[in-house]
Amino acid sequence: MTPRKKKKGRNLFEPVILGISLLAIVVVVGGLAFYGVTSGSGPAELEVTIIDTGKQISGERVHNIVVRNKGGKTAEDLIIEVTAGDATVEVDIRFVSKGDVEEAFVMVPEGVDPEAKIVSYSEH
Amino acid sequence: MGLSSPLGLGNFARVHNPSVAVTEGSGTTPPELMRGVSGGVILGLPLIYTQEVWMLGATINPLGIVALLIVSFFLNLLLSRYVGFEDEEVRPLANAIQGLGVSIVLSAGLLFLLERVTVDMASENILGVIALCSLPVSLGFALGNALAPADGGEGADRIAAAGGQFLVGAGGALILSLNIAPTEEPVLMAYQLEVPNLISLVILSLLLSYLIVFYAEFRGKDLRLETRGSAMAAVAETILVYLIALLVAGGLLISFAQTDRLDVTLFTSTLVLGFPAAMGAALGRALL
Repeated sequence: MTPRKKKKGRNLFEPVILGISLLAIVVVVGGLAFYGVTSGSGPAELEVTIIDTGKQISGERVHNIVVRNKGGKTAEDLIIEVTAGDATVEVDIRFVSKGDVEEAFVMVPEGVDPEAKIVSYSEH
Repeated sequence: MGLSSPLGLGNFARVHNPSVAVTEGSGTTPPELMRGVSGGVILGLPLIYTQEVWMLGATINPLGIVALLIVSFFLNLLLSRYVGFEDEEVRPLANAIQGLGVSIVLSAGLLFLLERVTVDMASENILGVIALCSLPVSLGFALGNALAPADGGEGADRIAAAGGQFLVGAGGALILSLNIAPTEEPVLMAYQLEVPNLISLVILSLLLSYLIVFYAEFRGKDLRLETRGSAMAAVAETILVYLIALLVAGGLLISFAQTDRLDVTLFTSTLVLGFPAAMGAALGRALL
């Protein structure tokens, strides 16, 4: 049996899709190549800050732990120790990619200033 | 006859169903592109729902990801030459560019919708995650004719005539979501996604399901539209099969003890897993 053929005529769809595709490839490949050449390759460089959000839950103040990675490698399995007076709590963060920020929250009794420090992590 | 091996790779040639009208002339059409998208969804969705990929995309050296993209592009060229997603003449370079480019756009859209990449992330990491997730999507795209053959499967007409599309839809939903349901990602995403994202996911599930079954260039597309009688009947069937896909997704989540209560978490996790389930259901109905 001979295939039945139907003419499609000129197809404007293809050049549009081809243009969008080329643009997407150029942006992704060009961007990654640029960052590959320019971004640092040093170890993870972590900075932790703790901020009082001003919110309260069950009489305790909610604090925001912000971990920023300024280094060139991803930090994994972070353990952050938060001390508030005599109490200590550990907070786990799965990973902080290079150049990124991750957050966690802890509740702290009223009138106590908490401190946070990173006690361990691994690099990927 | 259609492609004889499961992936059709053994044929290394375009084989068409003689009874199907083929087009000639002037490049990719939207229905053909939708077939490529269907192939990309089959291979790409399980990886897009994997948190290790989200982390690796932001961890691997960007030049390493560029190398993977280059290898993937050449694989796309070869696959486009021998399999492809178009019905007509072989144009590997144009097809490979379209396959990779559309896969990047598709992956980016899904990752933003699922909040796996956000605008406040470092742009290097955004590009890395999108690029890594687009690799399997682009290969699925290039394998469009094999993974989602225009010729469909044996007995397609018999199944449709018996109203078996609902059973086939449930089967397709089960196959695609079974890979994802035992993992913690659906519940994790359900916790993190905002209501507008979940609503958008439901709309996208319905829209893509409709396009795959009633618009993409698969055998029996016209017959499917004809037997439904009207566009409204096709829309009603799309919604009904989506509900079946949600039942399958919810059932799997309960079976794998991902959540043990009938609560909001189960509902939202079901919507998250419902997207791959709906894609599986649509592909099952389009191909069988």
